Amino acid sequence: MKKILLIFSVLSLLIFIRPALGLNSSSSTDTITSTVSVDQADEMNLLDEGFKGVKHFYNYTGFANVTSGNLIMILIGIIFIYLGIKFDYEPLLLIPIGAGVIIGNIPFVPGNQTGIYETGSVLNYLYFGVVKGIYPPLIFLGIGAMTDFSSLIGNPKLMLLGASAQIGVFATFLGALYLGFNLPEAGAIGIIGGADGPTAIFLSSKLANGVNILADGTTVKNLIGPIAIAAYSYMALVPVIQPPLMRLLISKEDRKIKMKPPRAVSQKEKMIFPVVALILTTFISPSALPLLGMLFFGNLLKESGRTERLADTARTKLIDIVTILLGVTVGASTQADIFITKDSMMIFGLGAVSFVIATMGGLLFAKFMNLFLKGDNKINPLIGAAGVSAVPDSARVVHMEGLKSDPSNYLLMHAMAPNVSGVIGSAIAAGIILSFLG
Amino acid sequence: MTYIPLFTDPISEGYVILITGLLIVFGALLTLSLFFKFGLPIMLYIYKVITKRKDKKLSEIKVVADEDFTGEIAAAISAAIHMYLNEQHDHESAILTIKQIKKPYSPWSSKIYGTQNRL
Repeated sequence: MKKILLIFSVLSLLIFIRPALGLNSSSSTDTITSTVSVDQADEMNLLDEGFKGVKHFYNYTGFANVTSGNLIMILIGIIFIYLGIKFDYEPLLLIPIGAGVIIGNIPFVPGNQTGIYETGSVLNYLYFGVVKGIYPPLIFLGIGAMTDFSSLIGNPKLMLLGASAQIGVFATFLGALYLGFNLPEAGAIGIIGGADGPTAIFLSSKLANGVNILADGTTVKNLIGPIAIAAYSYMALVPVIQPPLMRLLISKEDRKIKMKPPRAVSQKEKMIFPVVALILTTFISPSALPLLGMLFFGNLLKESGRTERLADTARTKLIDIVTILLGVTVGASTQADIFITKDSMMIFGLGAVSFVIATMGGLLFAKFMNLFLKGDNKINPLIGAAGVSAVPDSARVVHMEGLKSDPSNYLLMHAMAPNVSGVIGSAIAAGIILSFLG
Repeated sequence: MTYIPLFTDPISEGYVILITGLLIVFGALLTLSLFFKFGLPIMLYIYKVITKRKDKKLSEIKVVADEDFTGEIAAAISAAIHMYLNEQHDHESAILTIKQIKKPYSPWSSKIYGTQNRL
Protein backbone atom coordinates (compact mmCIF):
# COMPACT_ATOMS: atom_id res chain seq x y z
CA MET A 1 0.00 0.00 0.00
CA LYS A 2 2.78 2.33 0.96
CA LYS A 3 4.58 1.68 -2.28
CA ILE A 4 1.50 2.47 -4.33
CA LEU A 5 1.00 5.68 -2.43
CA LEU A 6 4.61 6.61 -3.02
CA ILE A 7 4.29 5.98 -6.73
CA PHE A 8 1.14 8.02 -6.91
CA SER A 9 2.59 10.92 -5.04
CA VAL A 10 5.74 10.91 -7.17
CA LEU A 11 3.59 10.82 -10.29
CA SER A 12 1.43 13.66 -9.11
CA LEU A 13 4.51 15.64 -8.13
CA LEU A 14 5.93 15.15 -11.59
CA ILE A 15 2.73 16.25 -13.23
CA PHE A 16 2.36 19.33 -11.09
CA ILE A 17 5.96 20.26 -11.63
CA ARG A 18 5.49 20.04 -15.39
CA PRO A 19 3.61 23.34 -15.67
CA ALA A 20 5.90 24.87 -13.11
CA LEU A 21 8.84 24.21 -15.40
CA GLY A 22 7.33 26.65 -17.81
CA LEU A 23 5.48 24.31 -20.10
CA ASN A 24 2.24 25.93 -19.14
CA SER A 25 2.89 29.35 -17.72
CA SER A 26 -0.72 30.32 -17.05
CA SER A 27 -1.19 28.07 -14.03
CA SER A 28 2.30 28.16 -12.62
CA THR A 29 1.49 30.13 -9.47
CA ASP A 30 -1.04 27.78 -7.97
CA THR A 31 0.97 24.71 -8.87
CA ILE A 32 3.85 25.79 -6.68
CA THR A 33 1.55 26.03 -3.73
CA SER A 34 0.07 22.68 -4.56
CA THR A 35 3.47 21.03 -4.69
CA VAL A 36 4.21 22.50 -1.30
CA SER A 37 0.93 21.21 0.00
CA VAL A 38 1.72 17.79 -1.38
CA ASP A 39 4.96 17.78 0.55
CA GLN A 40 3.24 18.59 3.81
CA ALA A 41 0.14 16.58 3.33
CA ASP A 42 -0.73 13.47 5.27
CA GLU A 43 -1.39 10.16 3.65
CA MET A 44 -5.05 10.63 2.81
CA ASN A 45 -4.32 13.96 1.22
CA LEU A 46 -1.50 12.38 -0.78
CA LEU A 47 -3.88 9.86 -2.20
CA ASP A 48 -6.27 12.61 -3.18
CA GLU A 49 -3.56 14.66 -4.78
CA GLY A 50 -2.32 11.55 -6.49
CA PHE A 51 -5.62 10.93 -8.15
CA LYS A 52 -5.81 14.56 -9.12
CA GLY A 53 -2.37 14.26 -10.66
CA VAL A 54 -3.27 11.18 -12.61
CA LYS A 55 -6.36 12.96 -13.83
CA HIS A 56 -4.28 15.92 -14.84
CA PHE A 57 -1.89 13.63 -16.67
CA TYR A 58 -4.83 11.93 -18.33
CA ASN A 59 -6.01 15.30 -19.61
CA TYR A 60 -2.73 15.61 -21.45
CA THR A 61 -2.99 12.24 -23.16
CA GLY A 62 -4.49 11.54 -26.54
CA PHE A 63 -7.29 9.52 -24.98
CA ALA A 64 -8.79 12.57 -23.34
CA ASN A 65 -8.53 14.87 -26.35
CA VAL A 66 -9.53 12.47 -29.08
CA THR A 67 -12.35 13.44 -31.40
CA SER A 68 -14.22 11.28 -33.88
CA GLY A 69 -12.54 13.25 -36.66
CA ASN A 70 -9.11 12.22 -35.40
CA LEU A 71 -10.14 8.59 -35.33
CA ILE A 72 -11.56 8.75 -38.85
CA MET A 73 -8.39 10.35 -40.16
CA ILE A 74 -6.16 7.82 -38.39
CA LEU A 75 -8.23 5.09 -40.00
CA ILE A 76 -7.75 6.76 -43.39
CA GLY A 77 -4.01 6.89 -42.73
CA ILE A 78 -4.00 3.19 -42.00
CA ILE A 79 -6.00 2.53 -45.17
CA PHE A 80 -3.41 4.53 -47.17
CA ILE A 81 -0.59 2.46 -45.74
CA TYR A 82 -2.58 -0.71 -46.40
CA LEU A 83 -3.26 0.27 -50.01
CA GLY A 84 0.39 1.10 -50.53
CA ILE A 85 1.64 -2.18 -49.11
CA LYS A 86 -1.04 -4.58 -50.26
CA PHE A 87 -1.86 -3.32 -53.76
CA ASP A 88 1.42 -1.53 -54.50
CA TYR A 89 -0.50 1.65 -55.46
CA GLU A 90 2.31 4.24 -55.49
CA PRO A 91 3.76 3.00 -52.19
CA LEU A 92 6.48 5.66 -52.27
CA LEU A 93 3.75 8.26 -51.84
CA LEU A 94 0.98 6.52 -49.97
CA ILE A 95 3.12 5.14 -47.17
CA PRO A 96 4.73 8.48 -46.20
CA ILE A 97 1.37 10.23 -46.57
CA GLY A 98 -0.41 7.54 -44.58
CA ALA A 99 2.13 7.77 -41.79
CA GLY A 100 1.84 11.56 -41.96
CA VAL A 101 -1.93 11.36 -41.63
CA ILE A 102 -1.52 9.34 -38.45
CA ILE A 103 1.14 11.73 -37.12
CA GLY A 104 -1.03 14.75 -37.87
CA ASN A 105 -4.08 13.33 -36.16
CA ILE A 106 -2.67 12.25 -32.84
CA PRO A 107 -4.74 14.38 -30.48
CA PHE A 108 -2.75 16.80 -28.36
CA VAL A 109 -3.26 19.75 -26.07
CA PRO A 110 -2.86 22.88 -28.18
CA GLY A 111 -0.31 25.46 -27.20
CA ASN A 112 2.72 23.25 -26.68
CA GLN A 113 4.18 23.62 -30.18
CA THR A 114 3.23 20.12 -31.17
CA GLY A 115 0.88 20.35 -34.11
CA ILE A 116 1.78 21.09 -37.68
CA TYR A 117 -0.27 24.29 -37.68
CA GLU A 118 1.30 25.70 -34.49
CA THR A 119 4.07 28.18 -35.22
CA GLY A 120 7.41 27.02 -33.94
CA SER A 121 6.74 23.31 -33.96
CA VAL A 122 9.16 21.10 -35.83
CA LEU A 123 6.45 19.83 -38.15
CA ASN A 124 5.52 23.41 -38.88
CA TYR A 125 9.06 24.12 -40.02
CA LEU A 126 9.04 21.09 -42.30
CA TYR A 127 5.62 22.13 -43.58
CA PHE A 128 7.16 25.44 -44.55
CA GLY A 129 8.54 23.78 -47.69
CA VAL A 130 4.99 22.91 -48.71
CA VAL A 131 3.42 26.25 -47.82
CA LYS A 132 6.07 28.22 -49.66
CA GLY A 133 6.18 25.83 -52.61
CA ILE A 134 9.82 24.83 -52.11
CA TYR A 135 9.49 21.07 -52.39
CA PRO A 136 7.63 20.83 -55.74
CA PRO A 137 10.39 22.38 -57.89
CA LEU A 138 12.96 20.12 -56.23
CA ILE A 139 10.81 17.10 -57.06
CA PHE A 140 10.58 18.37 -60.62
CA LEU A 141 14.36 18.55 -60.78
CA GLY A 142 14.49 14.87 -59.94
CA ILE A 143 11.72 14.02 -62.38
CA GLY A 144 13.61 15.87 -65.10
CA ALA A 145 16.76 13.92 -64.34
CA MET A 146 14.78 10.67 -64.54
CA THR A 147 12.72 11.28 -67.62
CA ASP A 148 13.70 10.22 -71.10
CA PHE A 149 12.06 12.59 -73.55
CA SER A 150 13.26 10.68 -76.62
CA SER A 151 9.84 9.22 -77.46
CA LEU A 152 8.46 12.74 -77.42
CA ILE A 153 11.24 14.07 -79.64
CA GLY A 154 10.77 11.15 -82.02
CA ASN A 155 7.06 11.81 -82.42
CA PRO A 156 6.34 15.44 -81.53
CA LYS A 157 2.68 15.36 -82.50
CA LEU A 158 1.97 13.26 -79.41
CA MET A 159 2.63 16.40 -77.38
CA LEU A 160 -0.86 17.57 -78.29
CA LEU A 161 -2.32 14.66 -76.31
CA GLY A 162 -0.66 16.05 -73.21
CA ALA A 163 -2.31 19.38 -73.93
CA SER A 164 -5.74 17.90 -74.57
CA ALA A 165 -5.83 16.18 -71.20
CA GLN A 166 -5.45 19.57 -69.55
CA ILE A 167 -9.12 20.17 -70.35
CA GLY A 168 -9.67 18.36 -67.05
CA VAL A 169 -7.91 21.19 -65.24
CA PHE A 170 -10.02 23.92 -66.73
CA ALA A 171 -13.30 22.01 -66.57
CA THR A 172 -12.77 21.32 -62.88
CA PHE A 173 -11.89 24.94 -62.38
CA LEU A 174 -15.26 25.86 -63.83
CA GLY A 175 -17.02 23.20 -61.77
CA ALA A 176 -15.44 24.56 -58.59
CA LEU A 177 -16.62 28.04 -59.50
CA TYR A 178 -20.16 26.74 -59.89
CA LEU A 179 -19.94 25.04 -56.50
CA GLY A 180 -19.24 28.41 -54.92
CA PHE A 181 -15.47 28.49 -54.49
CA ASN A 182 -13.88 31.83 -55.29
CA LEU A 183 -11.52 32.21 -58.23
CA PRO A 184 -8.11 31.42 -56.65
CA GLU A 185 -9.52 28.47 -54.72
CA ALA A 186 -11.17 27.15 -57.85
CA GLY A 187 -7.91 27.50 -59.75
CA ALA A 188 -6.07 25.50 -57.13
CA ILE A 189 -8.76 22.81 -57.12
CA GLY A 190 -8.77 22.61 -60.89
CA ILE A 191 -5.12 21.63 -61.04
CA ILE A 192 -6.01 18.28 -59.45
CA GLY A 193 -7.05 17.39 -63.00
CA GLY A 194 -3.42 17.84 -64.01
CA ALA A 195 -2.78 14.63 -62.08
CA ASP A 196 0.52 15.91 -60.90
CA GLY A 197 1.12 16.04 -57.16
CA PRO A 198 3.99 18.56 -57.08
CA THR A 199 2.20 20.91 -59.48
CA ALA A 200 -0.98 20.71 -57.41
CA ILE A 201 0.90 21.51 -54.22
CA PHE A 202 2.79 24.31 -55.91
CA LEU A 203 -0.32 25.99 -57.24
CA SER A 204 -2.40 25.54 -54.11
CA SER A 205 0.42 26.91 -51.98
CA LYS A 206 0.38 30.01 -54.15
CA LEU A 207 -3.40 30.45 -54.49
CA ALA A 208 -5.28 28.71 -51.68
CA ASN A 209 -2.84 29.03 -48.82
CA GLY A 210 -5.03 30.70 -46.21
CA VAL A 211 -2.83 33.81 -46.30
CA ASN A 212 -3.71 35.64 -49.50
CA ILE A 213 -6.39 38.28 -49.24
CA LEU A 214 -8.91 38.67 -52.00
CA ALA A 215 -10.03 41.90 -53.58
CA ASP A 216 -13.20 41.95 -51.48
CA GLY A 217 -11.24 41.62 -48.26
CA THR A 218 -11.86 37.96 -47.44
CA THR A 219 -8.98 35.57 -46.89
CA VAL A 220 -8.74 32.49 -49.09
CA LYS A 221 -9.13 29.15 -47.39
CA ASN A 222 -6.16 26.90 -46.77
CA LEU A 223 -6.85 24.04 -49.14
CA ILE A 224 -3.31 22.70 -49.60
CA GLY A 225 -4.00 19.59 -47.53
CA PRO A 226 -7.21 18.46 -49.22
CA ILE A 227 -5.94 19.28 -52.71
CA ALA A 228 -2.66 17.44 -52.23
CA ILE A 229 -4.36 14.43 -50.69
CA ALA A 230 -6.96 14.36 -53.45
CA ALA A 231 -4.32 14.65 -56.17
CA TYR A 232 -2.10 11.96 -54.73
CA SER A 233 -4.87 9.54 -53.89
CA TYR A 234 -6.43 9.81 -57.35
CA MET A 235 -2.99 9.41 -58.90
CA ALA A 236 -2.66 6.21 -56.94
CA LEU A 237 -6.11 5.18 -58.15
CA VAL A 238 -5.31 5.71 -61.85
CA PRO A 239 -5.27 1.92 -62.43
CA VAL A 240 -8.86 1.87 -61.12
CA ILE A 241 -10.25 5.00 -62.78
CA GLN A 242 -8.84 4.81 -66.29
CA PRO A 243 -9.48 1.29 -67.69
CA PRO A 244 -13.32 1.51 -67.62
CA LEU A 245 -13.18 4.84 -69.45
CA MET A 246 -10.84 3.40 -72.06
CA ARG A 247 -13.16 0.48 -72.69
CA LEU A 248 -16.13 2.82 -72.85
CA LEU A 249 -14.71 5.27 -75.36
CA ILE A 250 -12.35 3.28 -77.57
CA SER A 251 -13.65 0.57 -79.86
CA LYS A 252 -12.10 -2.90 -79.93
CA GLU A 253 -10.47 -2.40 -83.34
CA ASP A 254 -8.97 0.93 -82.34
CA ARG A 255 -7.48 -0.63 -79.25
CA LYS A 256 -5.60 -3.08 -81.47
CA ILE A 257 -3.88 -0.44 -83.60
CA LYS A 258 -0.17 -1.03 -83.62
CA MET A 259 2.00 2.02 -83.81
CA LYS A 260 5.25 2.00 -85.71
CA PRO A 261 8.29 2.09 -83.46
CA PRO A 262 9.55 5.62 -82.78
CA ARG A 263 12.62 6.66 -84.75
CA ALA A 264 16.02 6.68 -83.14
CA VAL A 265 16.77 10.02 -81.53
CA SER A 266 20.33 11.33 -81.58
CA GLN A 267 22.07 12.49 -78.46
CA LYS A 268 22.33 15.97 -79.92
CA GLU A 269 18.55 16.25 -80.17
CA LYS A 270 18.19 15.05 -76.61
CA MET A 271 20.59 17.75 -75.46
CA ILE A 272 18.85 20.47 -77.44
CA PHE A 273 15.40 19.47 -76.21
CA PRO A 274 15.62 20.67 -72.58
CA VAL A 275 17.20 23.98 -73.55
CA VAL A 276 14.73 24.78 -76.30
CA ALA A 277 11.73 23.49 -74.38
CA LEU A 278 12.75 25.50 -71.34
CA ILE A 279 13.04 28.70 -73.32
CA LEU A 280 9.86 28.19 -75.34
CA THR A 281 7.54 27.06 -72.55
CA THR A 282 8.67 29.56 -69.96
CA PHE A 283 8.46 32.43 -72.45
CA ILE A 284 4.83 31.44 -72.98
CA SER A 285 4.02 30.83 -69.34
CA PRO A 286 6.62 32.52 -67.09
CA SER A 287 4.72 31.76 -63.88
CA ALA A 288 5.51 28.10 -64.37
CA LEU A 289 9.21 28.92 -64.27
CA PRO A 290 10.00 27.26 -60.92
CA LEU A 291 8.48 23.99 -62.13
CA LEU A 292 9.48 23.93 -65.79
CA GLY A 293 12.87 25.50 -65.14
CA MET A 294 13.79 22.79 -62.69
CA LEU A 295 12.27 20.05 -64.85
CA PHE A 296 14.30 20.91 -67.92
CA PHE A 297 17.39 21.73 -65.89
CA GLY A 298 17.23 18.23 -64.44
CA ASN A 299 16.80 16.81 -67.91
CA LEU A 300 19.78 18.77 -69.18
CA LEU A 301 21.88 17.35 -66.34
CA LYS A 302 20.87 13.90 -67.50
CA GLU A 303 21.35 14.35 -71.22
CA SER A 304 24.44 16.54 -71.30
CA GLY A 305 26.55 13.46 -70.63
CA ARG A 306 28.99 15.49 -68.56
CA THR A 307 27.08 15.92 -65.31
CA GLU A 308 26.12 12.36 -64.59
CA ARG A 309 26.99 12.84 -60.93
CA LEU A 310 24.58 15.73 -60.47
CA ALA A 311 21.85 13.96 -62.42
CA ASP A 312 22.38 10.88 -60.33
CA THR A 313 21.97 12.80 -57.09
CA ALA A 314 18.93 14.65 -58.37
CA ARG A 315 17.11 11.50 -59.43
CA THR A 316 17.98 9.40 -56.40
CA LYS A 317 18.99 10.98 -53.11
CA LEU A 318 17.57 14.46 -53.57
CA ILE A 319 14.16 13.41 -54.81
CA ASP A 320 13.97 10.75 -52.11
CA ILE A 321 14.66 13.25 -49.35
CA VAL A 322 12.13 15.72 -50.69
CA THR A 323 9.54 12.99 -51.23
CA ILE A 324 9.91 11.87 -47.63
CA LEU A 325 9.48 15.40 -46.28
CA LEU A 326 6.67 16.23 -48.69
CA GLY A 327 4.76 13.01 -48.03
CA VAL A 328 4.91 13.22 -44.27
CA THR A 329 4.06 16.91 -44.02
CA VAL A 330 1.26 16.76 -46.56
CA GLY A 331 -0.11 13.79 -44.65
CA ALA A 332 0.21 15.57 -41.33
CA SER A 333 -1.51 18.65 -42.69
CA THR A 334 -4.77 16.71 -42.66
CA GLN A 335 -5.32 17.50 -39.00
CA ALA A 336 -8.96 16.58 -38.49
CA ASP A 337 -10.31 19.90 -37.23
CA ILE A 338 -8.95 21.64 -40.34
CA PHE A 339 -9.31 18.85 -42.86
CA ILE A 340 -12.75 17.37 -42.29
CA THR A 341 -14.95 20.05 -43.77
CA LYS A 342 -17.56 20.26 -46.47
CA ASP A 343 -14.97 21.89 -48.74
CA SER A 344 -12.68 18.87 -48.52
CA MET A 345 -15.51 16.56 -49.48
CA MET A 346 -16.36 18.75 -52.46
CA ILE A 347 -12.70 18.84 -53.47
CA PHE A 348 -12.59 15.06 -53.42
CA GLY A 349 -15.69 14.90 -55.58
CA LEU A 350 -14.31 17.46 -58.02
CA GLY A 351 -10.99 15.64 -58.11
CA ALA A 352 -12.63 12.41 -59.23
CA VAL A 353 -14.59 14.27 -61.90
CA SER A 354 -11.49 16.07 -63.11
CA PHE A 355 -9.60 12.80 -63.54
CA VAL A 356 -12.48 11.40 -65.55
CA ILE A 357 -12.70 14.50 -67.75
CA ALA A 358 -8.94 14.64 -68.28
CA THR A 359 -8.80 10.98 -69.29
CA MET A 360 -11.76 11.41 -71.63
CA GLY A 361 -10.22 14.54 -73.10
CA GLY A 362 -7.04 12.69 -73.91
CA LEU A 363 -8.80 9.66 -75.36
CA LEU A 364 -11.22 11.65 -77.50
CA PHE A 365 -8.51 13.95 -78.80
CA ALA A 366 -6.44 10.92 -79.79
CA LYS A 367 -9.44 9.63 -81.76
CA PHE A 368 -9.83 13.07 -83.28
CA MET A 369 -6.17 13.12 -84.32
CA ASN A 370 -6.61 9.73 -85.95
CA LEU A 371 -9.08 11.28 -88.40
CA PHE A 372 -6.22 13.19 -89.96
CA LEU A 373 -3.58 10.50 -89.85
CA LYS A 374 -3.12 7.92 -92.57
CA GLY A 375 -1.83 4.38 -92.70
CA ASP A 376 0.77 3.32 -90.18
CA ASN A 377 1.01 6.86 -88.83
CA LYS A 378 -2.24 6.25 -87.00
CA ILE A 379 -1.95 6.37 -83.25
CA ASN A 380 -3.56 4.01 -80.82
CA PRO A 381 -6.19 6.15 -79.09
CA LEU A 382 -5.49 4.43 -75.78
CA ILE A 383 -2.31 6.44 -75.35
CA GLY A 384 -4.42 9.59 -75.07
CA ALA A 385 -5.29 8.48 -71.56
CA ALA A 386 -1.62 8.83 -70.63
CA GLY A 387 -1.91 12.56 -71.29
CA VAL A 388 -3.03 13.06 -67.69
CA SER A 389 0.54 13.13 -66.34
CA ALA A 390 0.54 10.76 -63.31
CA VAL A 391 3.97 9.60 -64.48
CA PRO A 392 4.52 6.73 -65.03
CA ASP A 393 1.40 5.06 -63.74
CA SER A 394 -1.01 6.09 -66.46
CA ALA A 395 1.45 5.02 -69.18
CA ARG A 396 1.64 1.65 -67.48
CA VAL A 397 -2.14 1.39 -67.34
CA VAL A 398 -2.33 2.17 -71.07
CA HIS A 399 0.26 -0.50 -71.73
CA MET A 400 -1.66 -3.09 -69.71
CA GLU A 401 -4.93 -2.24 -71.45
CA GLY A 402 -3.24 -2.49 -74.83
CA LEU A 403 -1.89 -5.92 -73.92
CA LYS A 404 -5.37 -7.05 -72.91
CA SER A 405 -6.79 -6.49 -76.40
CA ASP A 406 -3.66 -7.60 -78.25
CA PRO A 407 -0.96 -9.47 -76.33
CA SER A 408 1.70 -8.43 -78.84
CA ASN A 409 0.99 -4.71 -78.77
CA TYR A 410 3.51 -2.88 -76.62
CA LEU A 411 2.37 0.67 -76.03
CA LEU A 412 4.55 1.67 -73.10
CA MET A 413 7.14 3.56 -75.13
CA HIS A 414 4.45 5.38 -77.11
CA ALA A 415 2.42 6.17 -74.01
CA MET A 416 5.42 7.77 -72.32
CA ALA A 417 5.32 10.61 -74.87
CA PRO A 418 1.87 11.97 -73.95
CA ASN A 419 2.70 11.13 -70.36
CA VAL A 420 5.71 13.43 -70.09
CA SER A 421 4.08 16.07 -72.25
CA GLY A 422 1.19 15.92 -69.79
CA VAL A 423 3.64 16.94 -67.07
CA ILE A 424 4.79 19.87 -69.19
CA GLY A 425 1.19 20.70 -70.08
CA SER A 426 -0.07 20.71 -66.51
CA ALA A 427 2.88 22.84 -65.42
CA ILE A 428 2.05 25.32 -68.18
CA ALA A 429 -1.61 25.23 -67.15
CA ALA A 430 -0.58 25.90 -63.56
CA GLY A 431 1.47 28.85 -64.77
CA ILE A 432 -1.46 30.23 -66.73
CA ILE A 433 -3.85 29.93 -63.80
CA LEU A 434 -1.25 31.51 -61.55
CA SER A 435 -0.73 34.44 -63.89
CA PHE A 436 -4.47 35.01 -64.14
CA LEU A 437 -5.29 34.68 -60.46
CA GLY A 438 -2.06 35.03 -58.53
CA MET B 1 0.50 41.00 -63.67
CA THR B 2 -3.20 40.87 -64.39
CA TYR B 3 -5.61 42.25 -61.84
CA ILE B 4 -9.15 41.04 -61.90
CA PRO B 5 -11.67 43.81 -61.44
CA LEU B 6 -13.99 43.55 -58.45
CA PHE B 7 -17.27 43.59 -60.27
CA THR B 8 -16.77 40.71 -62.73
CA ASP B 9 -18.89 37.66 -62.35
CA PRO B 10 -16.58 34.79 -61.33
CA ILE B 11 -18.35 32.35 -63.65
CA SER B 12 -17.81 34.44 -66.77
CA GLU B 13 -14.29 35.11 -65.61
CA GLY B 14 -13.97 31.35 -65.31
CA TYR B 15 -15.03 30.83 -68.91
CA VAL B 16 -12.50 33.39 -70.05
CA ILE B 17 -9.75 31.58 -68.18
CA LEU B 18 -11.02 28.22 -69.44
CA ILE B 19 -10.81 29.21 -73.06
CA THR B 20 -7.64 31.28 -72.97
CA GLY B 21 -5.95 28.75 -70.73
CA LEU B 22 -6.72 25.83 -73.00
CA LEU B 23 -5.64 27.82 -76.03
CA ILE B 24 -2.36 28.77 -74.40
CA VAL B 25 -1.61 25.22 -73.28
CA PHE B 26 -2.37 23.94 -76.76
CA GLY B 27 -0.44 26.77 -78.31
CA ALA B 28 2.61 26.13 -76.15
CA LEU B 29 2.75 22.43 -76.82
CA LEU B 30 1.92 22.93 -80.48
CA THR B 31 4.82 25.36 -80.86
CA LEU B 32 7.06 22.92 -79.11
CA SER B 33 5.97 20.02 -81.30
CA LEU B 34 6.22 22.09 -84.47
CA PHE B 35 9.70 23.13 -83.48
CA PHE B 36 10.79 19.57 -82.99
CA LYS B 37 9.06 18.46 -86.15
CA PHE B 38 10.51 21.11 -88.47
CA GLY B 39 12.80 23.51 -86.66
CA LEU B 40 15.16 21.00 -85.16
CA PRO B 41 16.01 19.09 -88.36
CA ILE B 42 16.81 22.38 -90.06
CA MET B 43 19.00 23.44 -87.17
CA LEU B 44 20.81 20.14 -87.19
CA TYR B 45 21.27 20.36 -90.96
CA ILE B 46 22.73 23.85 -90.70
CA TYR B 47 25.04 22.69 -87.97
CA LYS B 48 26.19 19.86 -90.17
CA VAL B 49 26.84 22.23 -93.07
CA ILE B 50 28.81 24.59 -90.86
CA THR B 51 30.97 21.96 -89.24
CA LYS B 52 31.21 19.86 -92.44
CA ARG B 53 31.89 16.78 -90.46
CA LYS B 54 30.00 13.63 -89.94
CA ASP B 55 28.04 13.57 -86.73
CA LYS B 56 29.79 11.69 -84.03
CA LYS B 57 27.70 9.63 -81.71
CA LEU B 58 28.60 9.99 -78.09
CA SER B 59 29.62 6.34 -77.95
CA GLU B 60 32.00 6.80 -80.87
CA ILE B 61 33.97 9.54 -79.19
CA LYS B 62 37.16 7.87 -78.08
CA VAL B 63 38.68 8.50 -74.74
CA VAL B 64 42.28 9.53 -75.27
CA ALA B 65 44.41 6.80 -73.78
CA ASP B 66 47.43 7.62 -71.65
CA GLU B 67 50.37 5.79 -73.18
CA ASP B 68 52.41 5.80 -70.00
CA PHE B 69 49.73 4.09 -68.02
CA THR B 70 50.67 0.45 -68.28
CA GLY B 71 49.17 -2.63 -66.76
CA GLU B 72 52.00 -2.78 -64.24
CA ILE B 73 51.07 0.63 -62.83
CA ALA B 74 47.46 -0.40 -62.59
CA ALA B 75 48.45 -3.57 -60.77
CA ALA B 76 50.64 -1.62 -58.36
CA ILE B 77 47.86 0.86 -57.61
CA SER B 78 45.28 -1.83 -57.09
CA ALA B 79 47.64 -3.77 -54.84
CA ALA B 80 48.28 -0.63 -52.81
CA ILE B 81 44.55 0.05 -52.49
CA HIS B 82 43.94 -3.53 -51.52
CA MET B 83 46.61 -3.43 -48.82
CA TYR B 84 45.42 -0.06 -47.56
CA LEU B 85 41.84 -1.24 -47.27
CA ASN B 86 42.98 -4.37 -45.47
CA GLU B 87 44.72 -2.21 -42.91
CA GLN B 88 41.58 -0.32 -42.08
CA HIS B 89 39.45 -1.30 -39.19
CA ASP B 90 35.85 -0.68 -38.55
CA HIS B 91 35.00 1.75 -35.84
CA GLU B 92 34.65 -0.40 -32.85
CA SER B 93 32.13 0.29 -30.19
CA ALA B 94 33.64 2.25 -27.34
CA ILE B 95 31.34 0.70 -24.83
CA LEU B 96 33.10 -2.00 -22.88
CA THR B 97 31.11 -4.30 -20.76
CA ILE B 98 32.76 -6.49 -18.23
CA LYS B 99 30.80 -9.61 -17.87
CA GLN B 100 31.05 -11.58 -14.75
CA ILE B 101 31.38 -15.20 -15.62
CA LYS B 102 30.34 -17.61 -12.99
CA LYS B 103 31.99 -20.97 -13.13
CA PRO B 104 30.54 -23.69 -11.06
CA TYR B 105 33.07 -24.87 -8.50
CA SER B 106 34.96 -27.94 -9.48
CA PRO B 107 37.54 -29.70 -7.36
CA TRP B 108 39.50 -30.79 -10.39
CA SER B 109 42.73 -28.90 -10.62
CA SER B 110 41.97 -27.20 -7.34
CA LYS B 111 45.02 -26.02 -5.53
CA ILE B 112 43.97 -27.17 -2.13
CA TYR B 113 43.75 -30.71 -3.34
CA GLY B 114 47.12 -30.63 -5.03
CA THR B 115 49.62 -33.39 -4.53
CA GLN B 116 52.13 -31.12 -2.83
CA ASN B 117 50.21 -29.66 0.05
CA ARG B 118 48.58 -32.49 1.85
CA LEU B 119 46.18 -31.56 4.55
